[in-house]
Amino acid sequence: MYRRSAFPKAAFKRLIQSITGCSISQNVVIAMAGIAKVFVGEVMEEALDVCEQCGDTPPLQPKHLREAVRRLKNKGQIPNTKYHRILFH
Amino acid sequence: MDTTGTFRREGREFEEVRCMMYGFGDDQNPYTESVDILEDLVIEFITEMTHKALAVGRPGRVQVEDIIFLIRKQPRKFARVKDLLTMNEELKKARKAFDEANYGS
Repeated sequence: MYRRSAFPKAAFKRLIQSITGCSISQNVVIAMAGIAKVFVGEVMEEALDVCEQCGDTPPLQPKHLREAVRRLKNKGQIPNTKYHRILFH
Repeated sequence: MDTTGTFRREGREFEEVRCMMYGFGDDQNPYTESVDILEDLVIEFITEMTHKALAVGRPGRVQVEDIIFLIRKQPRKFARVKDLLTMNEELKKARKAFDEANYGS
């Protein structure tokens, strides 16, 4: 299941092209789909840790995922262009 | 421009995320709410990456070099992209060699 699951490339291509407004190469879609899966893995790993630390068992609940995302954001693993953190005033 | 509308519960994408969660260690039947959240996260991730890629390199275009630049500090993603693209090249070469062999005979 781990090896077999993959994102539908056509849907990704549509999404990326709708944002860029220009056509993109197949390699871009391949790269994006690949790192998206790694991204899911990172979130899942963190979420399973949170689940264990909470003393719960799978299936993962939304609260586990949200906490996982919060932790990864602090580590800078999740891109966020919405605001820049000012480190030194 | 609401692209999320096209993804919402679109059978295949949702199903893939569900399978992926199982593959990464979740229960065989993850909660629908959790799958939803993950699907949203992926869309947000791709959107962010695309916006950033548009800003670097050749502006207004997204190329592989831009993506590689963006993930240069994230070893897992970087390694994965390198593997995928290398494998893709090898497959292309193999297919080409196969076609030429067939055409030749």
